[in-house]
Amino acid sequence: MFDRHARELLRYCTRRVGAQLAEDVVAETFLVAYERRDRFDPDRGELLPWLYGIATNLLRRHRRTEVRELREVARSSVVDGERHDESAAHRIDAQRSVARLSAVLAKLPRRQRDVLMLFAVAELEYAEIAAALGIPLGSVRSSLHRARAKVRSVVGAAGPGDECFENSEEDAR
Amino acid sequence: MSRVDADLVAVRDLPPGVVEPSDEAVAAVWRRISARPAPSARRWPSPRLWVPIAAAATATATVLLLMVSGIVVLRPHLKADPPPEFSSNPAKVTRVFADLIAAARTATPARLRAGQLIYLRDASIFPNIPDGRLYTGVLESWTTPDRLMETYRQRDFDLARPDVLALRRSEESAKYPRPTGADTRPWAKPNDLVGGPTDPAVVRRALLELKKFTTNWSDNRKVWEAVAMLATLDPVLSVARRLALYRVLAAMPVSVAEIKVGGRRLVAVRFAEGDEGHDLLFDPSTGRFAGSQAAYFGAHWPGLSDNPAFRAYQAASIPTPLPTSSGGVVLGVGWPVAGNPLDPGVDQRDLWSWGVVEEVGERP
Repeated sequence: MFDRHARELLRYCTRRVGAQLAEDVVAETFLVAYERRDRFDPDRGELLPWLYGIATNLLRRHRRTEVRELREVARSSVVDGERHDESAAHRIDAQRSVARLSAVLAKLPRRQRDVLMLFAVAELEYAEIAAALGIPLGSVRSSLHRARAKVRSVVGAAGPGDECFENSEEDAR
Repeated sequence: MSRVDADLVAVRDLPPGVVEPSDEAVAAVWRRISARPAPSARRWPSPRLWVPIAAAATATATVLLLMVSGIVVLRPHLKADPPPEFSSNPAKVTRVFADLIAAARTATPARLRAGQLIYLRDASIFPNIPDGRLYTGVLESWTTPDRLMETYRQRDFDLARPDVLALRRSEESAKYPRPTGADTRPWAKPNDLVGGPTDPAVVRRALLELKKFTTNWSDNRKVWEAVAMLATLDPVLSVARRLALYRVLAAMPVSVAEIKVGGRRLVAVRFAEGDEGHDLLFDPSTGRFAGSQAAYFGAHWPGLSDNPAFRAYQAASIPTPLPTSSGGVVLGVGWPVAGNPLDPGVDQRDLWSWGVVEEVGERP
């Protein structure tokens, strides 16, 4: 089980909370999975989505870290375009895009971010995400739809990303 | 909709510069799993999980055995104290529990004010699967009494890593935000510690209910593990509840012994099933819980106490093959234990101490 799934889980967790914390979370995921192995029902789905569900629950303990890192990426990716020549324009656009995207992800409600990351990074199907998070299929669809709408609004959009830095109360919770 | 849509690709590639997990990173995860002083309930995963590990460990064990076989043969037996003798004599079991119950009548629970936390220090000696050696480490946790939520935990040997230490320091400065997520003791409720029934038969049924999800355990094992789970929150156990738990244990097929840990006298109560023994340790002077042990009596894997590498290590000091820091800690595992301080058959021991504190990070 470890050999088959550890790397995928590590990839997912690293994208969310960084490499160091990801190792902790993935190790904890397997320990929790073992402790609760009797609760895994193979008739209800594959093992990997179940593991992703455990990992995602554990990641919630580190939500502040995740949001903090996203904001840090957003800040560090903002550049002053006027100081660069035109040959750097493409790179500047890319950095701005990263900044805007990071800021949007940092502001997403927890469920929307979980669903989006499980869909985009873990590449789970709707039903697998529903099983992993223990939520209805319809909630997966609506959460993903809302999250992607927000992401699409900034991916490839023109203009500086600075306006995305406003704090939201939800992030602090 | 496609997984190659621009928005999904952008999310997938965030943050920029993150590389694929390396083999070393995956190995580090495995070391953390192996090092964790897990509760006995999850000590030995299913054979399916351990098959590849057992193969690697067997190869390692063979090499280590060859390295130290001469020393094993020649080295004298160093243990000064005779091994404890567990007795299942009903009269003795009854007497031991009568003594514990008498002592525990004055074990009044701590009264926590709102916001206070239960601090648990778990000093553990535990086996590390990959190298077949014993390690030691301290696990600390801070638990809220209202929801039995473990708000934070850390292992001292992790702090040998500068990056982990830096993270911990930053969390300390942030006053350890208390999470509101899922409970790490999902089956227990505060009433299991301070209230609930006191009639042993009713208590037993309630304990079975706490472990109803572990369907592959016998009822006695479920009861035992439920008590062990509650025991880690000893300070808030009410007297009535504690005595009820002890009466339930006394009615089970257990054996008892007196053991010594660093000169400290403790009472060990053992529940054995199959090749495994599960011990709860008690302080006879207070009647309170003091820790736990795990033992293995089988002739083959997964019992490290009978693993050739483990046996070899009992008699020799072997340089660890795992990466170490300058402080002697094996990164992600713990500090190697010199010799084998555990009693025969025992391959893990946890000693608990508690306190009531105001904040995560504070120690009594």
